[in-house]
Amino acid sequence: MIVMWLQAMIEEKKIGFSQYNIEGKALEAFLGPLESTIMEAIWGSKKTPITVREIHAALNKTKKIAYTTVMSTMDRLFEKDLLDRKIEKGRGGLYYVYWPKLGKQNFQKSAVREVLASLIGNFGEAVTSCLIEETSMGEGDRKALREQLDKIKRNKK
Amino acid sequence: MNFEGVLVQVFQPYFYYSIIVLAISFVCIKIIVKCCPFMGSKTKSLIYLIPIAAPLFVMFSFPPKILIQAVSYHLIGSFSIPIPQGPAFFSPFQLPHPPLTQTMVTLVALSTNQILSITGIICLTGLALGGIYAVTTIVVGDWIASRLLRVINLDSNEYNWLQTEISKISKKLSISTPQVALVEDLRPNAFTMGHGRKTKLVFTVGLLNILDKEEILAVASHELAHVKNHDFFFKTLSNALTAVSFFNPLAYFALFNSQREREMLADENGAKLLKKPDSLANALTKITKALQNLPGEGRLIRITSNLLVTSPIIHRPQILSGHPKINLRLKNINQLTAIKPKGLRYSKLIVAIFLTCVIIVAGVATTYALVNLQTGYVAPKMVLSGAAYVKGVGTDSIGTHIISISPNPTFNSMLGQIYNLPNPNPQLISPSDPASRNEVPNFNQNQPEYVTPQVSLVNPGTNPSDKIAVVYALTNGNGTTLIIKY
Repeated sequence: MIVMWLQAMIEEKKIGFSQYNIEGKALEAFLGPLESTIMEAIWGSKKTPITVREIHAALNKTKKIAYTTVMSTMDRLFEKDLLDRKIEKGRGGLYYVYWPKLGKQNFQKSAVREVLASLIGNFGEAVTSCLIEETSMGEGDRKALREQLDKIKRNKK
Repeated sequence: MNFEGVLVQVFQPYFYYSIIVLAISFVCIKIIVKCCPFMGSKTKSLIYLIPIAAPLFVMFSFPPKILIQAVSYHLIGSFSIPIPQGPAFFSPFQLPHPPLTQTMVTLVALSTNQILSITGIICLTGLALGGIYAVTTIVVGDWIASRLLRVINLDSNEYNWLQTEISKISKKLSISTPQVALVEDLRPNAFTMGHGRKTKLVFTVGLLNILDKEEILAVASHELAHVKNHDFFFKTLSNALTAVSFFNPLAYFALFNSQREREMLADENGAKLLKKPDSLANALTKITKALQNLPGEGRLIRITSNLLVTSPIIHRPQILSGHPKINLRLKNINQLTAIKPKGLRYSKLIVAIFLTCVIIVAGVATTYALVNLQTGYVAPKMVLSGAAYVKGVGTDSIGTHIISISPNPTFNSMLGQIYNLPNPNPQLISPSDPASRNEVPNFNQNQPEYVTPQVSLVNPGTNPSDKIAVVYALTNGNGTTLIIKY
């Protein structure tokens, strides 16, 4: 099972975050506080795609936040490939509408995989030992696991 | 409704006077503006208001009425009568012809009643529209525009540098610092909305994205110049005056001419506030190019600009636009740095005084002429437009034909019981005393072609006075028309 999961991890496309915050709670481990708030708001919204103004209005209900801050953060999330956007023509003019590239569950899975891939690439032996200690597996599985981890390492190089 | 009815309705004095006055003054001012290239944008924008305001003065002189006296003519019948030969008088409009031995008598019933006047309703609707528009725009215009455009107010910490600069320029202009706001539109534009302390300076996201700081400031200066020039009230007033003449297309031309000059003025004043006047020209060029690459124009911005008196920096050029073409604006901005010839002020003053006098004299003369036209010619025609059918009236030497008609009552659904003449045998009577003629109001007694005989229907065995009040006759070379008033 773990072997198959690792195999999938190798082939997984990277998602847009570059740091892992060990003290961050939930999504804030991967994203900044405002980024994660906005992502949560977009996933929680019934309307998709959604405009900056609508997200701004939704966030303002709980905490006062500047429109331009929301606008620049959503722009950054788009650059990080977490959001997609297009120009839509509406009553008031032309404006961007945004939608998430991944659902919340898929994003979390992808993010965890990416962190694990990074850990294995950098600390393969330690990760292997931890995984073997934490899980109960037969000799055949251990051998296959080691082979997969070596393969990940080679790919990293 | 018959043709005369329509004419009476359409030809209310205010309706056509306002159209004439607006057209004449608009053409005059266009000529004056073309003849005086040194005239400033402010002066031009103000004098373009004259044609728009003129109909309002006409309205006070000739108040439109919703209910008017309408005159209807109904043909009852016609018959021939013999008349004696002898000398005849003819009107100047009719060539003499041999005395008639027989003439055609047409019996026409005349009735007057109060009817709703279409033009009266249109004119007073314009007045009401103008009034309601001005009050609504001043009281809630900015609120409606904010809602429609979904304007987002910026916090004091957002675009801090811009807000600081706007505050500095506002102090320099001695105006209260406007609230800076955004709209989500990606098309580059900016506009002011509201007045007094509620003034907002709104930028689109698109404008902030494509312009650099200098250019954004240039746009802000243009908009603040609008505030300084009180363009909110100027536009509200000119729009309200145009609403009074909403049925006249020339009013819109005059309005847009005036507003274009206002834009030029804001460009001039805005550019003067900048360290680098070129940056406004650069901003306008960039915005125009960007708009060319983006689909359509923000319809909402255009509507709010025209109706709710927001003042966008730019519009896509159109024939009917309150914004001048970009090349004219750039030329105007570039001319600011050019050295102007000295000694122009005196000549400018003399020309301005002269032109003002000409306009006032022409206006008074036109009004005087129109008043005379109204009282001397149009009013009688309006009341008795049927008389226009009679090209000229001749009488014989002994006076007016008075005809007694044999009774033969029939029933007419429109007129009730009338006395028709299927086989008439009229008797010719001449009045011995001309003073006994029953003059009909509004007929010019000095003109011999109009004759008004006494009541003259004779109906043995019936009582015609219940149904017929007055009869007068109009006689011409083709016959006599008897008009019966109910």
